[in-house]
Amino acid sequence: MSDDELNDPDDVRSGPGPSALCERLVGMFDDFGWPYERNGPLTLRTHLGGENGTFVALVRVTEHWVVATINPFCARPEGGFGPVALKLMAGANHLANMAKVGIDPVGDAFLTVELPSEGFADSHLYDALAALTHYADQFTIPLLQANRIDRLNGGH
Amino acid sequence: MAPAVALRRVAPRLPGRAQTLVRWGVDEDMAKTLPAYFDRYGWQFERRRTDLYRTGFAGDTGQYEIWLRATDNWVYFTINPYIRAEGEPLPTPALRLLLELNYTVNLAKFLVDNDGDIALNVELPAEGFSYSHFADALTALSHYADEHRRAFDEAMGETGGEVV
Repeated sequence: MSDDELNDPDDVRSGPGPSALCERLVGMFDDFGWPYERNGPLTLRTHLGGENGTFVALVRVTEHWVVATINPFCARPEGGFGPVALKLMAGANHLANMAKVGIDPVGDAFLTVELPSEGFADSHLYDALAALTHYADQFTIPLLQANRIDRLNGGH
Repeated sequence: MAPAVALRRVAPRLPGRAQTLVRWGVDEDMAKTLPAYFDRYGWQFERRRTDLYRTGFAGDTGQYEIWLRATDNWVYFTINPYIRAEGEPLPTPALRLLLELNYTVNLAKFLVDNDGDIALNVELPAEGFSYSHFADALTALSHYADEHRRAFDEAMGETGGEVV
């Protein structure tokens, strides 16, 4: 940390800008040899292959954030997620380093990683997608089982 | 609250190259940087170890303790417990609220730890970590903790939850 950084009263952020960062991400995808397609000017779409399935992920760049998301990670079951599934997902957030599990406004479960665009490194993209793949793979079957239990318990 | 409870984490389990990146500890630069960041942010803090700091704030809904832990690869900020379950299962409305809030909160996430307590975390990579990240993390934690406390209290219903 430099003295300038400590003394800068305006906290000016030195991000590369969303467009430039998105182009950097494209370069990283190419370097890693990962397939992707553009899904808008600041969004890339890719497929993450795990042992228990293949997951579609979107990588979106905003002014301050790079957000990688699998949504839906698990579609809303009829009647919504029940108590067993809710408990599983809430606890999964403790196990998942970097990643976050939640429920979106239409009731689908999602898995996401949010990283600051300032200081974004190549390793961050790799780590984000590796985390998404790993946790999607890890949580898929338990979540399906939890949904089944909730349905057997009735009401979900 | 014991630090071991407040900051208990499992080692990240990432496949391939990511796994090799995970090492626990803190480098000397970060050990010098964090106190300066606290000073610049204007918050008092207590340094428990070179990699572990305690701070806190008083919001509209109560007083909250924030723990910061730095490793070679990650910087963790946490309010834990945010709501103490007191050994009782969390009610379904509280779990649903937690997961729905995770869609709306930026940078942070709500979670349930191994004790069944609700916690609020921010996790950031150590590589490229700057003052703006530090400030964003503390601002996010303090804002979200205060903003959503009453909703959690309501969702906890009669089982209650200790204000910490």
